[in-house]
Amino acid sequence: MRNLFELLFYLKELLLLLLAVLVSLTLLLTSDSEQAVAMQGVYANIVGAVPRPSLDLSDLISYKAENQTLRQRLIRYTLLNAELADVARENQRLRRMLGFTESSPFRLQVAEVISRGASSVLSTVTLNVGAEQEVVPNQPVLTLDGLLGKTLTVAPEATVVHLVTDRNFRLSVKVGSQGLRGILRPLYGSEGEIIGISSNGDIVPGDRVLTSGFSDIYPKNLPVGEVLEVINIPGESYSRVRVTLYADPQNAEHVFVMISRGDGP
Amino acid sequence: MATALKLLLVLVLAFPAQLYLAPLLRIGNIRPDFILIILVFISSRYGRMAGILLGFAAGLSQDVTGSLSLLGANALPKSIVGYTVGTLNGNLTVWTPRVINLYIFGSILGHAIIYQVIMVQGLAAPMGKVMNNILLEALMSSVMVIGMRYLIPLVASKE
Repeated sequence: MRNLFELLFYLKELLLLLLAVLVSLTLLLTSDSEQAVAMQGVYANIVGAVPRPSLDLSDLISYKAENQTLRQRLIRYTLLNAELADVARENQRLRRMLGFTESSPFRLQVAEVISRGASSVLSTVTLNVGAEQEVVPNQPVLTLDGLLGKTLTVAPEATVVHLVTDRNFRLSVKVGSQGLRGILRPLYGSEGEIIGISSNGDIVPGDRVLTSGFSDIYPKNLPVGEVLEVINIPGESYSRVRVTLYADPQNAEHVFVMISRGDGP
Repeated sequence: MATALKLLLVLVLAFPAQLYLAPLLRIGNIRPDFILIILVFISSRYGRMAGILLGFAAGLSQDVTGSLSLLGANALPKSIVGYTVGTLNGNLTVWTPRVINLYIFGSILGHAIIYQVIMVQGLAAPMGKVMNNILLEALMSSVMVIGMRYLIPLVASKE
């Protein structure tokens, strides 16, 4: 018996390592639990409460270039807006003619990314808005380029966003001139692939990928990405469509949380 | 007890650096892992036991802040790094500096491989990109540790 204790004491570091590995593996296999989400909520509360410097070095470097880009976009959108105003008037007239109820536009809450987490691979970001700004779980989060993800855990003044690039993110999308539906899943970095697309579909590189609207969370036609490549595997009735995602979580500074989809009663 | 609290405090202080400083130093999508760097220093000074415990705790905390759907993705490789680098505690005066540097690089490379494999497991990720990220992540952290090693020498604990 004494020898056994001596052996265990001699191997204590190895046993501790085995225990740590076992606990880690157990967590990896069960981390979809509610406790994990609750822990994220605690983290969001802490990060939301930590005061941050209002200006950092990267801001100073990027503000000028960002300002230039935003000015160009403003001009482009002003022109586009004038064009859309005409289309909206015509649309309203046609809707009235058809007896449709008027739908209100999306209501967006501007937010700032305050943390990208401490892991080297990004799967969530934290925003500086929360329940006090009417944010609730499962609201779409957008950048100027396209869909970034959805709200996951909401604290009073902070929100954790589940990114479209996370390995567990799935999204119903449509693509191509025929609006073929499939499921988007991330691959690596800013790339993803659409599965479930028929191999005789008319999809070419450069086609835009949009949300399909078959979801309680995402309204239809939110931009998601662009087709990079269509892979047809001989003998299979489905193609694999590789896409590049528009949203860039590494560089996103300001985002929009869609508080209201605008298609309610 | 006082030493344990001191080590915990050092790791806690590494988190703001990881959250706010690491994004400024990133290359492509890869950010330096300051928590891993601090862990290497602590493990080499205080041995395997401290390395495993702190590696697991720090890795788990890191997971809570980012790898939402993969809790344990950082805790697993950091526990292993704590153990392997903790071996240096008794060998710092025996091994040559070149061997120590290689050993540290190997441990950090192992960390990067385990972490990236967990993150891409089950995905049809392009292997070339994954390999690039593994090498970049390992090189970035190793250069920082080995560079800092000459500023703050790794000293074995006398406790």
